[in-house]
Amino acid sequence: MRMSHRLKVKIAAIVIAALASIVVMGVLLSGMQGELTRANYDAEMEAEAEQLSALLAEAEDENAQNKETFDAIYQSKAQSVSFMAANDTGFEATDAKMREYQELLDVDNVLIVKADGAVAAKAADTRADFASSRFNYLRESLSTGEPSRAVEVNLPDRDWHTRYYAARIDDETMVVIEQDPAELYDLVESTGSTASVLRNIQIGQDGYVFALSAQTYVIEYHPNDGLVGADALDAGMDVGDLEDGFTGWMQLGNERLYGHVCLIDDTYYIEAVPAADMNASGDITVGVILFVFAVVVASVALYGIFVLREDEREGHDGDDLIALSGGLNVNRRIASRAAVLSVIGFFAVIVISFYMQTLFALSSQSLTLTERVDQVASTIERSQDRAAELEDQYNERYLSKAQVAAYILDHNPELANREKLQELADALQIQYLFTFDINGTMTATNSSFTNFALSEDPEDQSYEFRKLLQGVDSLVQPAGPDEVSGEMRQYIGVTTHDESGTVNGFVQLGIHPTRLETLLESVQIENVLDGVQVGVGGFAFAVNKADDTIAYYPNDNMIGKPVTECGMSEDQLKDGYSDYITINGEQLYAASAETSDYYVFAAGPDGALMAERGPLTMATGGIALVCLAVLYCLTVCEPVAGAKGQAASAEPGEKDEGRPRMVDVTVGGRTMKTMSAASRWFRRSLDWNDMTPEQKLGCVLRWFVGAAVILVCLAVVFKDAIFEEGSIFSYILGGSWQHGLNIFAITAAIMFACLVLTVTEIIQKILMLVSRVVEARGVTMCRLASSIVKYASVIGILYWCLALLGVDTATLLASAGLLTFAVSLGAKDIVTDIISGLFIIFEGEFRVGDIIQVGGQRGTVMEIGVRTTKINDGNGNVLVLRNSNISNVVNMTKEHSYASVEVGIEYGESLERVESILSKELPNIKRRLPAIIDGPFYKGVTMLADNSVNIKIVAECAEKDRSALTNDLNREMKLLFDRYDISVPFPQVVVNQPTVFKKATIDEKLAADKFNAEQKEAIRSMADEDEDFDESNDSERR
Amino acid sequence: MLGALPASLLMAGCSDDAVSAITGSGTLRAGVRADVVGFGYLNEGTGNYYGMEIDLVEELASRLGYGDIEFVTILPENRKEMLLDGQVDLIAACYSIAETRLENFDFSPAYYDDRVIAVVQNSSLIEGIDDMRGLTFGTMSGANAAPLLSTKLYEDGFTSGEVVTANEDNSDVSFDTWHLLQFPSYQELSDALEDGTVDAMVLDGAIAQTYMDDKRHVVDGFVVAEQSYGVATQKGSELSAPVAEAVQGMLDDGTIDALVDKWD
Repeated sequence: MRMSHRLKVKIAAIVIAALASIVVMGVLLSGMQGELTRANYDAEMEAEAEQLSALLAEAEDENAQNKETFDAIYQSKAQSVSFMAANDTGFEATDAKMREYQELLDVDNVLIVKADGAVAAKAADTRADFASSRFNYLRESLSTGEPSRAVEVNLPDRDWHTRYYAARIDDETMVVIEQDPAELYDLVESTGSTASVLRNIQIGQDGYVFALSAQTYVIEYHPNDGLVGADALDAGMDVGDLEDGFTGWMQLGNERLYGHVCLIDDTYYIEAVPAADMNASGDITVGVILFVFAVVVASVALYGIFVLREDEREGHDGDDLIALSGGLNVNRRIASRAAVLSVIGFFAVIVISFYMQTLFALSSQSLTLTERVDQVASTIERSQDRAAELEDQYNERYLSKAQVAAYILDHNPELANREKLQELADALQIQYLFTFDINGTMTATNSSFTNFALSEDPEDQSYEFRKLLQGVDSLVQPAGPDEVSGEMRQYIGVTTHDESGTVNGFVQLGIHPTRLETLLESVQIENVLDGVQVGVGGFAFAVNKADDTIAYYPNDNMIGKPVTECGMSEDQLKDGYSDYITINGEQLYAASAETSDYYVFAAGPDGALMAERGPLTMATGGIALVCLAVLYCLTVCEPVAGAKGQAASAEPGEKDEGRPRMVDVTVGGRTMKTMSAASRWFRRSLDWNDMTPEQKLGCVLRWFVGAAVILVCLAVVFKDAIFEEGSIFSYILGGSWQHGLNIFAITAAIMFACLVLTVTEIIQKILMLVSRVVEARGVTMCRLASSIVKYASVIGILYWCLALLGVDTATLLASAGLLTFAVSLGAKDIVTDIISGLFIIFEGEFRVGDIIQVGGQRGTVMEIGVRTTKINDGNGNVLVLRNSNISNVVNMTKEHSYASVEVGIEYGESLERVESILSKELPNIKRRLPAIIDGPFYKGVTMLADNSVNIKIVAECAEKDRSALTNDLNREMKLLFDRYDISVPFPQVVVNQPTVFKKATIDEKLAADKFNAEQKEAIRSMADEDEDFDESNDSERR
Repeated sequence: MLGALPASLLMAGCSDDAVSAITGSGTLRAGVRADVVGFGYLNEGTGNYYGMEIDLVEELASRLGYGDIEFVTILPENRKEMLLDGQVDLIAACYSIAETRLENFDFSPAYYDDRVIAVVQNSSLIEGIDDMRGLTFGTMSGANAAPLLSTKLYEDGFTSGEVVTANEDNSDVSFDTWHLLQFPSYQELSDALEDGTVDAMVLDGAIAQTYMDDKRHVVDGFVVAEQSYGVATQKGSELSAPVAEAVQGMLDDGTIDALVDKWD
């Protein structure tokens, strides 16, 4: 079957147009998707960049504060030595005394230094040359009387890192304290360093900020420690890219990044997103949309090609062409179907595009939020640990102060008066000092409280300090609201001793722990969450686990409110929640994490991705529409000139040849071809050339769907190899989203279904292969197994998908019991019908268009419903059969039907003559009756009847043609016999002249009456049930 | 005035035979600094040089038609010998154009103007040059900071210029109102400032950037000298004229400005 040149050209045009559409769509779509992703990241990076300098400044402030706090501690220590020197507490400028102080104050070194830099006494050797101008700060204390500023010497090469503090002893002498500031720098490193700031910034999902010096291009911070200290230019960055405000692609190491450069104080901060991260999800989104588009385009194009080839083969039907202006014809036969295909395809592209965009947007948002909130939760945990650490640190410091106070009072008990205590409190930089005697009665204080004695009531705050009088050396009470004033206070006590060293009371420090408070505050939930950036416009909030109230929210009015009042539900309060929530009527996308005290949520409005999916879908739809329109026109229209030539070249008449397994059926007034039932049941494959264009298209579509299903299945099975950890699709496959009616659940359900269907199909194929080589019983078993696999997979998919969609499957199982109960009560028939209906559909006993015979009724199946099946009996009557009543079905849409006629010939006729006539004439009959597929065949003598010899003629035909063909065959036989003078015996009636009948005589009448009466009497006992009640009898009896 | 200076100025002399080796070779050998961030800095991790002078030499080489550049680290104490011996073709290494140097070398037009400054510790409470009376200045031996400083202090009337004592290599010189210590490297000079051995360090502004932190400051209103960096070539070398022209070209078309801007 050769194609004409014209057709070849047209097909080539269609193929080229289809490929071009796919390419155009691919390029535009990935361009748009990339642009959108980039724009989204651009906005986020811009926002982060704006906040970065503020964050860095804040960190800088914090460093300054930490330094100040640290200095204050050691200045206070120096000052307390100065106080001791001034107040007759046994101070002397000796090395031994200095060592005592060194231990008491817990510092690295204590020295007494003259104004000219000479060291008068020292606890340990010093490397400092106090004479040099380098230490001029220290000498300031001599003139001011205040503790000096710190001098720091930092020579890492010589292992010399020390801070120096001084306090005045007299005009010519000062005390100098040396301390290694390692503790300070550890604090700075962990709370205020650039690294600590940058570590908390996240761009999108895996993006981060790294910093490099603007001068040396050495990387100063990078989340990957291996890169810190590396040369950025050497690692592949381009100097030209390093401009403030530059946004674009860059290379660092073997990673390609999309980044935004931001120059702050000689340091480039680069907000970077790995290229893999930028593309991966988008690529899959584009891939899926493109696949669907390709399928649609291919469908339309292939359909066009199939129809055109079929047309050419069968010859053009001129009626199908409608002339258009401009010398074009429209093929009506294709036009309507191609239009339907195109429209469906167009909507499919739009729906899939919107679906994929939503999936992409939501999953990327979900991932970002989840990662962010996990990060926040770990920050909270860390800061709570840090708080505990800080509290310990402060307790230690305060205890040290209390010990200094106790030391001083041990050496000079006279100082226990208001003025001196005030002076000491100033030196120690604390608020209150109290001294107590051995009875627990207050003896002196610098505060306004007087006449105070320790409580005897164990419930009271002060009771605890009685321990000091009973052998405990020191006591640090945790900070808390004061019982008397209600202010935040912390009390620390250390025992004092008399000259003999026995305890004679204790000294108590009263502190308003503002510094601790501020420090603790900085690790409070408010503070931690306050600085959290969640994409553009997002924020973090926390819910108290204990009472489900909001512990932190950017809007202060919300804090303390129960979450349920704000619109959230109880079941949203859990670890790993990720879905929409409603707070104050505002719908936000949120993800949650759990800490020991809180549920932390990162929430944000629908991002730009969500906002853009509409326009993007429209754009995709637009492109699809144009491409489909072009293809449609190419398929449907053709130049007028070509039509005639093609029509002439066609040879009609071989239409049905070689298509034995195809059956024409009529549904709703439209005739179409369907596979014969037997072919369907035995899964015989059809010869490609036998198929109609629609079937070919269906076949191609099945291949496409099969390919898609297998691809999805492979993606699911090899997800770890294909998708990176933390990518969007591994998120969907990972199942950490909320179960419920959301896009992830639906996607996962589809994926699961694909997986199961692929596996099922493979198992069924294997069973089929097995069934070919085993004997009959094996075949039955294989069929049964295949059937079981099919039902199990369908039930499995249903069950699993319902679970994914948030249906409580346990309840579902329980409700199965409920269902049984309902069935037993009365819904039995309906349920049976429904189940029977399902079985009819799944088993494929018959389908719409088949001619079947059920319980003596024969007809064409019009509709298989859930409960009933409708059959047209051919006389215009519609039989409605309940599905449960459909049993013993004879499906007559089998491969062949036979029309048969039986004719009798006279015994006198020569059978041989008749047979020779038939052998001559039967082919002619076939030619005259197109409904005959094969035959007619002479089946032989069926009966030697009373009056005739019966012979049978059969012809193969379609079931729907059978009755008509039977009639036609009868007619043909009659005409044939007439032509050849073969006599057909028929009952002949011989008419005779009427005879005259005689009347009965009276004697005869009497005799007859008597006979009747006798006979009746004789048979009275005999029953008459066996009597044959035919119609005449009935009517006579009436 | 300061009589004898550390570096061996007198060693200049016999260098006529080195010139011929320059032309024809496709590789330009450039002497650059390895320790001055922003000008010539060698990243030891990678073995690459970065800085304004590095970019300048690369641009120069491309304008002069060299196919390849070999960077050679030079130090203040050996740079003269390196160039005179022909171990390098030119020097672009924070090398200031000075009268004494012009006797031995040809210089291109200045590509960067710098000042020699004094840096002190904040904790020394030194605010101006007057606070420095009787204190110790530190310089790097081999740099020309020491003669410039002594000249400047003499001209300002800070000192009579009279040397009280001096050791044999002039690394420790006492004047009437000030003391001079010279250190073999900038790092040692900086360390001396950190531990208090010197009260102020005097060095090129460009180099000082490397050693500044928030605990140090530049002495206000005290500029030891203005100086300009040029690309040095051997006296009378065939390279001298093309180099000078190329640098002038870069000055004219804004290339130098762009480089300074980029590395600032």
